[in-house]
Amino acid sequence: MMINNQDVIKFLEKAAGKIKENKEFLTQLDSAIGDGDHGINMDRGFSKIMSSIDTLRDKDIGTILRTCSMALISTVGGASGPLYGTAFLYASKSLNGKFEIDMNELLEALKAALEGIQMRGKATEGEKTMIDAIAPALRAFEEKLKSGGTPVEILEATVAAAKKGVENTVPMKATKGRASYLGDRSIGHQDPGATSSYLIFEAMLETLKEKV
Amino acid sequence: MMVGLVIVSHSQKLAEGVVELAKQMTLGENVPIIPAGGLENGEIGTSFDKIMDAINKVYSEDGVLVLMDLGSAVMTTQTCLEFLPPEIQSKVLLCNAPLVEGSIAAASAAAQGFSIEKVKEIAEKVNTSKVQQDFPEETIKYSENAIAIDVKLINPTGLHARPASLFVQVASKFKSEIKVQNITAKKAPADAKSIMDMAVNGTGEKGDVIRIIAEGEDAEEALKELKELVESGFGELEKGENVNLERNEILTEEHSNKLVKNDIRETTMKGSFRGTPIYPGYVVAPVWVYERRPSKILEKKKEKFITFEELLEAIKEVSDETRIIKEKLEKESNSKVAAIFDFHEMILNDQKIKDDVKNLVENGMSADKAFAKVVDSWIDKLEKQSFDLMKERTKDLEDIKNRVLTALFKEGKKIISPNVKSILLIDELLPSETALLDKENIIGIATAYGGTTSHAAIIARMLGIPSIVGLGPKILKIPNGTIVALNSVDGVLLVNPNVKIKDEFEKKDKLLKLKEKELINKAEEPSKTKDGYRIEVFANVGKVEEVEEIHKYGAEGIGLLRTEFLYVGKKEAPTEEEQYNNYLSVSQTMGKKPVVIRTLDIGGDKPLEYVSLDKEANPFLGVRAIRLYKKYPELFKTQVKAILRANQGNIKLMLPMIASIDEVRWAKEIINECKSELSSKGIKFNQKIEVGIMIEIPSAAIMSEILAKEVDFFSIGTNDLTQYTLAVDRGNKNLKYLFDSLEPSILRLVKLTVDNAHKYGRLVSVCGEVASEKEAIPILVGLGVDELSMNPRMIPYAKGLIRTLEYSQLQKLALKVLELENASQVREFISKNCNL
Repeated sequence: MMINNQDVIKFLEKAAGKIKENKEFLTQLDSAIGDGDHGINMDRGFSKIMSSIDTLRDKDIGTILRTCSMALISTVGGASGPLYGTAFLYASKSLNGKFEIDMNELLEALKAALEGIQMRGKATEGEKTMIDAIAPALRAFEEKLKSGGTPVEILEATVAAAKKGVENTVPMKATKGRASYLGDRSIGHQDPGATSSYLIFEAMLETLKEKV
Repeated sequence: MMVGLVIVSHSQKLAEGVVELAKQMTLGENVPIIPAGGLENGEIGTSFDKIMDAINKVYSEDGVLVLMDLGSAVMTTQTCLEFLPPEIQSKVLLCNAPLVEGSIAAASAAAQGFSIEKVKEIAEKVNTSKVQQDFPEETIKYSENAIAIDVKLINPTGLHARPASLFVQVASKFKSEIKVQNITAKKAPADAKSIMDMAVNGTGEKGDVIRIIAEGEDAEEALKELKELVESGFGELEKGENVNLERNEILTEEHSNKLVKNDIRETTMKGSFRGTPIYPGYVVAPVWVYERRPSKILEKKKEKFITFEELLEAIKEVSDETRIIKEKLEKESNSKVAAIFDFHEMILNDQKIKDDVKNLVENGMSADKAFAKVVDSWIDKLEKQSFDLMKERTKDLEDIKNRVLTALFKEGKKIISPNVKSILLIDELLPSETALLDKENIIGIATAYGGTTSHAAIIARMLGIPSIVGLGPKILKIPNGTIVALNSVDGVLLVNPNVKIKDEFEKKDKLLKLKEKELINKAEEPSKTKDGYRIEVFANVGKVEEVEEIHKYGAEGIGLLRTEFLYVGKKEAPTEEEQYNNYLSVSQTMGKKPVVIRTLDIGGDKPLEYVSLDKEANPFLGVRAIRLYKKYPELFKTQVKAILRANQGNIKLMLPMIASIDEVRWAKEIINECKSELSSKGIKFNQKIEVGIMIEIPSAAIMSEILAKEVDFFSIGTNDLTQYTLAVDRGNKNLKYLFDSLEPSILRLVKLTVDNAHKYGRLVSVCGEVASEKEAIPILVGLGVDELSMNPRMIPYAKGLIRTLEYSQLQKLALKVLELENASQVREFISKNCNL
């Protein structure tokens, strides 16, 4: 099964919807250990994407993602702006001019996105950041892909791993970002960034499920 | 050459403010500085577009240095950089310096025409230690020849008055320049030879690490000796004086808690004042009102110009006098009190004060006014210190000021003596006055103002003069010679008391001295009766801050954590997060020891802004506690969720005001709902939590057999149980004679509750006032109560009492007590049989 530009648009719409739905929740999570604006910021970014989504419907996947990247970078206003913005930007690089991609190409794009986040935020796994959801998710993706899983199975494994990753952030002590100022007091809270990453993976899975 | 600057911040106002500040440093040069703060709409955040714009505007061939606050500001700026064309990108540098300090340094460097690399370097090397603004000259430069050493403060009082003065004394012996910097508190370095600088900048608490820096020919010896001084605990540890002092404080504060009960029988006496007891005792004597009037003297002679030399003479006189007082005290082997006057002497000899005064005098100010002004400015600085002990030191300065001014105008100071044995009545005791007291004749002290940690209080305690502070300004109106009874156990001063009171006070005073010895420092040990029966003693806690200190009183857990403090006096209900953080910190502080959290117990008597209740004729019989949750389920759920999440395995949840089993079932359903809501959100928490109830309504005690099947534990709230059983409002002054938790009716309900609980293997605690009452403890233990929970300060006392009792005997006594007719018979019976 191939993923085309219309699927990417659908994915973005779903992701925007999920972020909006969970705006309060994300903000609540962020209030505990950050500056309490993650939900609001992410929603602002994705709403901006949605406002120009119609102009993107006939564009190639690389252009769509690059446009999203710029929207996120310029409107989010918090750390998640440059982080997700860089993620989308890096993901777009290998997809320029493409209207259709397969699961291998998707994995490569996602890996590039993770690389971008790590380059920007200088965080590694175990520091209570979005990387704690994304990195294990991509490992599950790759494993399922190699063992011959269907696209839906692959993304199901990805989402499950991301969820586990989110849960694992609870006992972690933050050493990056605003939460690191809290030191030990950051322990016991779920990381908002990891949670929003998980929601985005969920949007991917739901898009594919509907297609099948 | 002119480098451009961009100031990036989450806040538009901050960025603009920093630009404003930085521009002051440009000495008229037109350095391009542009703020890029906040989002486009002015909200908090960082804007890619604003940063891009700013960089483009200030850009020139000379380059752009960007200063940022934190987090997304840094990341967004980095992202901007990547979007710039390579030829521009190479000339835009990001600065690693803190925003405010860095911007100021960079602006100044840019104005001087340095290259972009040099401006960046200067900004990043900026000194970020926040020096007291009053002392810009104190910005320390560690020279190459200086040597330094780090030492930890181990003495209980830290680096304050006496230790600080000792430190200055020792430091002053050396020729080297010596500075002290509190590393832990991240303070600015203080001049180790100036007591005032030490008092403001050089203070430290026990456990702080201080750095001693010395430069000069004898620097090594200086460090060695100062290190030894700090490590010896400034002599506080060897003598064990401080341990005694602390025990003394516990003793008196514990006595003050007993006041509440004794007072029930005493408030009918007329003309009584209440204050904070300092040194316990019972004294009946006439009052002697002491007045001082240095300010009036000043008024009279204000025309005369006082020279600096005249002032120096007065200072010398006071200094000599101080030495005499000190020697007198030392002879009386009061070395600790004497040391306080070392501090005075040092202030009197402080070069900095003298220099400042001299300066003012040279500018035409009379020396007395200059001295007052300089000392006042120090008082002002000390008052701004967050540490209370430091604020108390302002009294020393006030004292010194008065004494110097008095000496200056030749109004000599006399020993404070009333000629006959009296109770001194005074607005507030200044340290020197306390020391000048005629101990023969002053047998009690009552002050209108002051707290437990003031010098005066410490000294009064040391001198062993029964005293009460903070009785209020009205006491000053008591005429000289009026007979008063000073009860500094309970903190009560009775004016014109009953004639019989003198004998009673004498007896009580004798007993008191004996009892003090009983209160041995065995709080930490578990409490077992003589025949080995173990009773756990817990603390009642009403605020998170109190948790830290309950360990020292020997609490084996928290038997009642009241949560009302989170709710009362707020505009909005506390959020789940706020509550969670509070509970978590308690849970963590207590480690493995149990913490029983009582959910909100509030009703119409204490209205909350965010809860609207109808006006009730009888709020205590109205919508209160669990009855309120039914009306505001979200309020309850938020609290339950916070408790569930905070539970580290040691938290138990307790429901107040249970009248029937239906309420328990309803609450448990809600608790289960909360659990599944948390689970569905993927939030981790401990599924297991014990749920117990307060037994404070008679119906709950009567139905305890049914309730025991439904809950994990009981806690008997004797205050409300008494109120509801006897139908007596606790606050009604006219009915105080009826209110007694040792009424056999109450005790029978306690027995019923305990028996029913034990039938189902449930534990019972008692958490009302009565749990710490000496007549009640033997009965409660005898009735089989498993745990007692009380005001933490009463714990050592309760444990001490339990250790003298015999369980097998108590069981029999308790049963006999239930057959008695009323509370007074119960009290008499127990006093007699337990030798209380």
